[in-house]
Amino acid sequence: MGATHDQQAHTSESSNIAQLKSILQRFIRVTNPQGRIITGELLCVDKQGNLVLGKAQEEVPKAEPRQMGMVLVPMHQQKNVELQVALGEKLEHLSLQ
Amino acid sequence: MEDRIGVSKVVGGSHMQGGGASYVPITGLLERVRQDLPLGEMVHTDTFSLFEAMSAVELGNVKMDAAMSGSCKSVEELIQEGAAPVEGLTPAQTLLIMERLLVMEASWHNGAALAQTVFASLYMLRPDRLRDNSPLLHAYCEGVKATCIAVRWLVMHGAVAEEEDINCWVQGLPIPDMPVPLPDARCLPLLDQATQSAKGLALLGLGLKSEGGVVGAVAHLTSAQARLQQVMGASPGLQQQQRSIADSQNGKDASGAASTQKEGQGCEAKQQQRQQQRQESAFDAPGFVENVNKYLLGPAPPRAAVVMSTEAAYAYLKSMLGHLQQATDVMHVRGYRALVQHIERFARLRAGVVARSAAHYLIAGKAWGPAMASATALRQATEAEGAAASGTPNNSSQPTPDNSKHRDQAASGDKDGSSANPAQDVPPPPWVLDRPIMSEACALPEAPGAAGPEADLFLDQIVIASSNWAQSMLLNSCRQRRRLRRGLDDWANIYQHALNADMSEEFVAFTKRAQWAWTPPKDEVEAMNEFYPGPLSTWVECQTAASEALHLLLGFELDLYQPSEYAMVYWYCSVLLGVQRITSQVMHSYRCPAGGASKASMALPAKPGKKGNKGRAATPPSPLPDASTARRQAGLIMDAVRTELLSSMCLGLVRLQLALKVAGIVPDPILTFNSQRERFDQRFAAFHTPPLVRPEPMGYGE
Repeated sequence: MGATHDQQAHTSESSNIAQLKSILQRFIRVTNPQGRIITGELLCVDKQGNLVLGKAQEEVPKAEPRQMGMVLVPMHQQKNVELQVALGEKLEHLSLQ
Repeated sequence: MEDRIGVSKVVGGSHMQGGGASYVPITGLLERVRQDLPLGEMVHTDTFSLFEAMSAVELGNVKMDAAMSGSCKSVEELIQEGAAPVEGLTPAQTLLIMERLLVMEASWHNGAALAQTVFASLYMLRPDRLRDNSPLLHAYCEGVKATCIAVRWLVMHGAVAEEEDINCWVQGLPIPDMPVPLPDARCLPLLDQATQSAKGLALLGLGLKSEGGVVGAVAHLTSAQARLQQVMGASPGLQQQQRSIADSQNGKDASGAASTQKEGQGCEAKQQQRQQQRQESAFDAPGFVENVNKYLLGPAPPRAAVVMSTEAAYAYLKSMLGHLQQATDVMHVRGYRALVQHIERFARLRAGVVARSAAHYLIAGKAWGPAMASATALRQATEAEGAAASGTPNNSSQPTPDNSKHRDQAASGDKDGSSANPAQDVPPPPWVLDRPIMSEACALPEAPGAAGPEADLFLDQIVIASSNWAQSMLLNSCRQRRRLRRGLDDWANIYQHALNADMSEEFVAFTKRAQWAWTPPKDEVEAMNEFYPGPLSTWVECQTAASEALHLLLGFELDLYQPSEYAMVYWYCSVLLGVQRITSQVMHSYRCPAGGASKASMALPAKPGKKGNKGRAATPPSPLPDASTARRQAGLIMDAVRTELLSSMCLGLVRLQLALKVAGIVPDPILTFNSQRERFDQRFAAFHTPPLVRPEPMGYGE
C-alpha cells in the first residue's frame, strides 16, 4: 500500500515536470511586481523557481517593444506567469494553472 | 516532445500581438514543479546551455537591468506634468540648460550613453516645442543635435572607436545614420544668432554661475561644428576650411577674452566659488530627467552615466578642438615617412575618440572614393541651398584637381578649375595610404607591371598592412598595443611577398634599368645566405622592427612591466632599434631613385679632386639627384641617426637598471611560478612565433 502510494506520488511528480517540459520553448508572459511585462521563450526552470527566457522583449507603453535577448527572471520578480496559447487550445491548457 | 512540437506549430513560436493571442496562468504549475524538482536539477530545453545563460540579463538587478531604476513615466507624461516648460523660461534657466547640454555632450564623447546624457533633456527629445517660445534654445538644441549626428557619423566611419571609448547606441533617438545635410547649413546662422544673444545676456550681468562660460561654450560649439564640417568635407578646399576654422578659433578666443573680461569686471568671486565647487548635480537643470530613456538603452546594460563637471567638459572640448586641428595638419604631409611621423606624433597625444576618428578618417583610403564624392555633392548642394536661403554668395564650388595637380601644386595649395562632375570619384589626396604613397616609400614605380607582378602584389599587400598599422596606431592605447602585436603576422606575410618580389626576374631587371646600387643574389641559395637579400625585404624588416619596438614601449605607458623586467625590455628595444638603424643604412646604400628616375638624376654629387690631381682638367660634376630621391636618402640617414640615438639611450637605461639591481635598490623578483627564462620567453613570445622570422628573434642567452 505504501509502495503504491509512493508510486502514485512519483507519478504525480513526473506529471508536473512532464507538463512543464511540454511547454518548454513556448512563449510565456511574466509580469513583475512593478508592472513590467516581459515575454519570451521558456528555456529553463530550476529548483529555486528562476526562469530563463530566450528572445525576450519588454512591452513598453506607447513605444516599440524593447528587445532584451536572454533574460533570467528570479522568483521574486514573478508576480504573474502566463503561457501564450492560441484560442483553440486555451481549454486544454487551463489545467496547467 | 512530439506533442510540444505539434503545439509549437499551432502557436507559431512567435510574439503574437493583438488578436489570436491568449494567455493561461501557469504560476501554479511552476510552484508544483519547484517542489517536485530535486535539489540541483533543472528542466530545460535540449539546446539550453548554462554557458550562454551566464550572459542573461537578470530582471530586477539594477546593475544589469537598465530599465530597473527611474521613473516609468513617458516623455509626454513628464511634459504634461511641467517637467520641461517652454513658456516663461528665464534667461538664467536658458543659459543653464545650454550649459548643461554642452556638458552632456562632452560626457557622451567620453563614454556615457547618448540616451543618458544629451537626450536626457526633454527639450532635446521634443525640440519643436521651443520653436515659437524660445528660438534661442531651439537653435541651440538643433545645433547640439546636428553635432551629435556628425560626431556619431565620424566615429562610425573613423573605424578606430571601441565600445569602451564611446557609446553609439541611438535606437529610439532622433539620430539618423547619415548626417542630415540641411542642418549643417541652417545651424550655423542660428548658432551665430545664439552666440550674439548669449553675449548680450552676459553683458546684462545677470549673475548666473555659468554667465561667463556660456559665451565661450557657444563659441566652442560653433568652432567644433566648423571643424567637423572640415573633416567631413572634400579634399579640395581643405585649406580654405582650415582658414575658416582659424577664423572661428580667433572668434572663440575673442569671445573667450570678452567673457574673461566680463568675469573680471563683476564675477570674480563667483568664478572662484565655481572653481572650488564639487561636481554639480548633473540633472538639476530644467527639463533633464535622468532615466527618461531607460527603455532605449539596449539589452546590454550600459555603464553608469558619468557626467563631467563643467570645468572638465570645457577642458575636454578645448583639447578636442586642438587635437582636431592637429589631425587636419595631415594635409601638409608629403610622403610615407612624413605620414608615419604625423601618425606617431598624433598617437602620442592620446586624443579622444572623436579626434582619433577624424585623424584616421582623413588618412584612410576608403574615405576618398565614391562615398566622398557623394558627400561632396551633398555638401555643395547644402551650402548652395543655405546660401540661397541666407542671401550670401556661395563659395562652395570647390575644384576637383587631378592626381598630377596634387603632386605639383601641393605646396602652393593652388586651386584652379571649376567643380567637375561631383558624381565621379574624387582622387585621393597625396597623404592617403594608397598605392602612390607606398610606391614612393619603397622606391617602386607607381604604374602596375613596371617592376613585375610580384612587386605589384607586394605593393598591394603593403598598402593593406600600412593601413592596418595606421588604424592600430589611432586606437586607444590598450587596443593599440594588442593590435600592433597581432599585426606582426601581417608583417611576416609581407616579408614573404617581399622575398618573392626581390628574387623575381622582372624586379631584378627593373633595378638594373633604374641602376639601383644593389647586386641581387645569383640564386636562391645565395639569397638564403644573405643577411639582407633584397631592398623590399629590408624595408619590411625595418617596418617590422619599428612595430615591435613600439609594442614594447607601450607597455611602459600601460604599466605592464615590473621594475625587475625593465632591463630586458629596454635591452630588446635597443636590439630592435639597432635593426632599424642597420636596415636604414642598408636601404640608403642601395641608392634607390624615387619612382624610376633617369640615369642622370641618380648620380651623387662628385667628390672634390685629390691634391695630386690639381694639374688635370677637372671633370664636369655629375648632376644632382632629383628632389624626391634626395629627400628619401636624407630621410633614411635621419632615421638611422635617430634610431642609433634611441638605441644608445635604451642601452644606457639597461645599464642603469643593472646598477640599481647591484645597488640593491631594485631587488630581484621572487619568481614563484616560472623562471626568468620562462618569463623572457612569455614576454617576447610574439616576436619568436612563426611565421615571423625577421627581425631575427633574440634568445634569453643572448
